[in-house]
Amino acid sequence: MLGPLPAMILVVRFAQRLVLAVIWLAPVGQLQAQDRPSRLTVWDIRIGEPASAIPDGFVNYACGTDGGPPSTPLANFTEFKKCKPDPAGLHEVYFEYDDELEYWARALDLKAEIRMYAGTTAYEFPVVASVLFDDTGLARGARLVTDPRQLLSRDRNEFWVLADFIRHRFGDNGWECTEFPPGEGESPAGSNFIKNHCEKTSGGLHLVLEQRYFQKKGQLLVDPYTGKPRPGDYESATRFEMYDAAFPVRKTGSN
Amino acid sequence: MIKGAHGLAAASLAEVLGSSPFSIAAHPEAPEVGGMKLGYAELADDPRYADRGAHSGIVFTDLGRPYQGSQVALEDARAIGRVTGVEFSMERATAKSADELARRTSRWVTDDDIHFVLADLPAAALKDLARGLADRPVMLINISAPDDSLRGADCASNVAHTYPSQAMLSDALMQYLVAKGWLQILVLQGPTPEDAALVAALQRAARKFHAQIVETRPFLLTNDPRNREQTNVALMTAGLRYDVVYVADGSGEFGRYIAYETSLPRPVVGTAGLVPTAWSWSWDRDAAVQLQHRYERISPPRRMNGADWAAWEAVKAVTQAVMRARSTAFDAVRDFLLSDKLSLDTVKGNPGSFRAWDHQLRAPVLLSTADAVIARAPLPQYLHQTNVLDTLGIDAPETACRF
Repeated sequence: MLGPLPAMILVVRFAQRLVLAVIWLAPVGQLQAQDRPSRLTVWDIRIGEPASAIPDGFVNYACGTDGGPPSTPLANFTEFKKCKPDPAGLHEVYFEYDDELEYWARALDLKAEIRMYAGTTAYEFPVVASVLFDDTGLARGARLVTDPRQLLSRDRNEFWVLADFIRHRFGDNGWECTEFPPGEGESPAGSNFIKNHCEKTSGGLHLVLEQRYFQKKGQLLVDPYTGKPRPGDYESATRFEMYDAAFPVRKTGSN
Repeated sequence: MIKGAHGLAAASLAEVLGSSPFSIAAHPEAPEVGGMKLGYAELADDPRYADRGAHSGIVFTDLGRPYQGSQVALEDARAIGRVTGVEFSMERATAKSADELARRTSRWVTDDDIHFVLADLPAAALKDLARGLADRPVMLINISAPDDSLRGADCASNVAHTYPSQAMLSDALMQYLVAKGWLQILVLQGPTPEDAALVAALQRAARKFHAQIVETRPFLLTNDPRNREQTNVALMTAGLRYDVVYVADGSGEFGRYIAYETSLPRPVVGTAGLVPTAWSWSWDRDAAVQLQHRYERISPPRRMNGADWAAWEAVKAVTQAVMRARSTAFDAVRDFLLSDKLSLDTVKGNPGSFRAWDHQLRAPVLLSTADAVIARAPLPQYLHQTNVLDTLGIDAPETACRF
């Protein structure tokens, strides 16, 4: 995490170069990566830290809905107690990444930066992000679920691939995975049927990762009555949870 | 939305642009720039903003003037201008007639070096103003009139349009209906010329996308029992098969009682139900929330509407043209503005630019209910040989505009 002063200095430099790039059409690639301001992401939140210590640099805080849309609005993470605890006793707080850098990148028509700062993402995949607090206000976990409502550079068809990025982030080895067979009425999407559940404990974190790419009962690529394509009729999702390894993990919810 | 003083919280680019000691003027290659003053023209008695759509103190349609939309973009332009050395500002003229506006605008050109004027005017007044300024170095930017005629037979070379045309709006809706397979359309048409224009645009879109208008039935705002067939929604929607009901009701009074009242259980679209629009406050992608909050901060309690977006976009277009052209001179800015080099953020995904054949801004159209955007057009199923945004509205081969 950058402190306020270094971050400001970086952004001042960045802004100057942005404007120079725009005004004098200098290649934007000349901008040094270290000069670009970085917005807060879910990876900047440390499991185990209190709600009051998490930087208040996100927006649209709300009670979470098990990786779904926001419910009761909150001022920030410290209002976690307004959210009903889940069966494990954790209060889920939804948040979004600040979009102000995206707004300015768009205003200055900087395509790389627009992509970099767009939406609430993990590896450019749109996600619903949330932090899970215990009753004392400690962040005991975080949750990322791919978000089909956001239209970004990654198509929903790719959402299941996010799991591979996350698996790699925490080390490809040591995952205990269960591959599930198709349930009643489930079938491959195209030639792929992916339905798994993986867990791993590493570095004080217990990680839970699920991948889905298949068609559920009733989902068809071609409408049997009209013969017309039904292009969105499939599941494609990644669901990731990381918990304090010392905290008892509950079974994750998707099927 | 950035709060607090931690990390990036303090590091809003807007703040930085606004407070940076960096001076472009000190740069050896700095362009010769100075002030860039824009104009904003409107009618005092614009009938579109008459006190309508409100009954018993409840406002059903938000038709507030879009001036505040321009001010959001002007704030952004000023922030950029503090770095680039260009001082952006705006003059506002509220007049009783297009003639008076033409006189005021002419004085702006002469006395204040104003050459780009946002026009919040009905079609007839805009046409008159454009004609009155034909020999002046002025570019009018239409921010609120959807009339296709302004982009067609009545087009003028000194007018550009950031507000979408009626053809664009209708095409956006029709793309969605066809994509859903709702090809049989029952039309309920109101009595005003605006309603007729909506239906004409729908008919054109239906031909273009191969949908069928099964029947057009007129409705009336009356309680005369002799006109029951034109006032009762169940009666008006009975006796034929259709996939969807399209309502053309500029007044908003009839249309809001159609959903859930139709004879067949069918969706309602048009001016009620699913509505094609330049902007919806519920659009939350592509940094739209940031824009929405900026707007609400300076214009409480209103939410941004389509004309607000068009006003915002007009100022952004001029700002970007000044930046990219590295000049505030009228010819240079105008040429860049209308060139294919313009790549204008629309906060709706696809970047915008002005069509050469009618000066209409290419921009996506939102399909919105009262509280959610259901789709953004152009839909991915629709392709175009040069720019998918040209699947919306009048394309080059079919234009009636001759500059």
